Amino acid sequence: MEITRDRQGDVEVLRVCGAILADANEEFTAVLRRLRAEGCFRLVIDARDLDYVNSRGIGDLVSFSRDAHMNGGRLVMVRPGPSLMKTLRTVGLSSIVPSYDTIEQAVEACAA
Amino acid sequence: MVPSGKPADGVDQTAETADVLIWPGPGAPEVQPGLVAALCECGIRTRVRPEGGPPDELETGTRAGPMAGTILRWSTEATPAELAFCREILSEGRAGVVMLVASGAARDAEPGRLPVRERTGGATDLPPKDTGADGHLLCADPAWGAGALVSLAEAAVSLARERASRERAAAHIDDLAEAERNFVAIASHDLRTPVSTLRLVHDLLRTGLAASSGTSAGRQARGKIDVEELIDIMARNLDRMDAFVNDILDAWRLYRGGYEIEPEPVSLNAIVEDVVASLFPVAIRKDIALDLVTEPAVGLILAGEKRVGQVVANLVGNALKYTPPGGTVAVCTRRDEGGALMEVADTGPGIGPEDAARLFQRFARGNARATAGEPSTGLGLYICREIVESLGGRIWVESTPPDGSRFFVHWPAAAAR
Repeated sequence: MEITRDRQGDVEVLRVCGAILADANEEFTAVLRRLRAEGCFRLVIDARDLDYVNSRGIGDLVSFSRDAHMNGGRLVMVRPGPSLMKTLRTVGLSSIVPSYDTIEQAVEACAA
Repeated sequence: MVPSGKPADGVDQTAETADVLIWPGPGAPEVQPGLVAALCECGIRTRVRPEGGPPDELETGTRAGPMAGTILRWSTEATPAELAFCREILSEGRAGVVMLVASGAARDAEPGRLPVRERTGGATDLPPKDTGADGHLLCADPAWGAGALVSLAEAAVSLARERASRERAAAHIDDLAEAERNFVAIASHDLRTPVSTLRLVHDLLRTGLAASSGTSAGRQARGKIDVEELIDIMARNLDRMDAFVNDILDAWRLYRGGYEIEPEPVSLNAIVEDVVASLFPVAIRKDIALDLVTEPAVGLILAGEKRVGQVVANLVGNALKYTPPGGTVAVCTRRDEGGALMEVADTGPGIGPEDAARLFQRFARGNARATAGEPSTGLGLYICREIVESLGGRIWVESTPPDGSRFFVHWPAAAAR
């Protein structure tokens, strides 16, 4: 897994590549924890090259999404693959974490 | 004497199965010319034991082994040592019938009245009952000639088959009795527990101790129980009963002749992805990392989508059940010779050799306990094995406690059959 951070105004864009498996969970959790600590709750996850997110990663997204809502922020995604979409639907996250085709659209939606 | 290792006329020396194993004793005279061929002509599969053959070649027991159950001991003389040897073969269960052909072995027997049952002649007797052996010892004289010996051999083979059939029937009855005992034990626990809970919930609702209005704290203050909580409890227990009944019905269908599966090419990866996604809520609730790595080249397997899903759900569900919080369950698929291999690995307590040996049997439950008290009927892995094998696949487990378990399923490729 590879994570790169990019700031666009008050929106944080995380580009996540590869797969979030057990060996990457700690790093992913740490990144989200850092964002919370920085008070950053407007988050775009660029999932175009994200092949898989395991249950713990999905759990992290669920709790971040909840915290974001409570703090007036939002979590959105850019083009998650079919497998990830299936998982998001299964855990009920697809309805509260909207997906967009481009980063621009996602950032705009997140900032609004 | 039959030359060791040399093929005799009409004898398949390399045959894996035989009805009669001719076992020449030390210094025994040559087997009558044409006897072996005559046995084969009568449809009696005959094999001559090579001298100094490995011990497993002697395994002629009716329960298992390459032979069907008759040893023809061809010896010089019916000495006490020879008779003791024959009785030992019977008492050890290596053969259902031993036919001793030796001078003096059947001095009082009449070849003209063959076949005989439990004919012991005057020189020997049946194995004592307290040895636990219930085989037959038939005695014959080499001077009788091939015709009489073949008749006696036919009687011996018939006795051995009869015994094997009786043993199979007895084993089947034991199996049924054990299944019944297990079923009663499991049903009394696994069905009574949720039924008792449902009755309690029913009583609470009926007596007005439950309430849906107001806040949780308010209800608590009024001594009321949350209706929503009770509904959740009911749902969980109904799910538990539903799973139990489904397992019982599946196991029964399999026992009565298996599922009617019409194999068709299906995508193993697609099925695994669906099932794993459906189990995410369980994994998240238990704080278990549920990983999935699929090899795109796995391709199609020949199976039934619903049944493959059932196997995957069972294996992954089990792994989640026995893995403690903070652990990992990793599912992966990859190409394998002639098909696809699916692996479900967990960081649970592992399975000891004793449990592993009977894991895929009906009502088998290991020593490990589910980490959140999830129920187990002991039928899931049995159902998995039946499904996988009926589709031409293979299922097995590797485990070294306490380092988790790895379950493997080999599925035949769509093009392989």
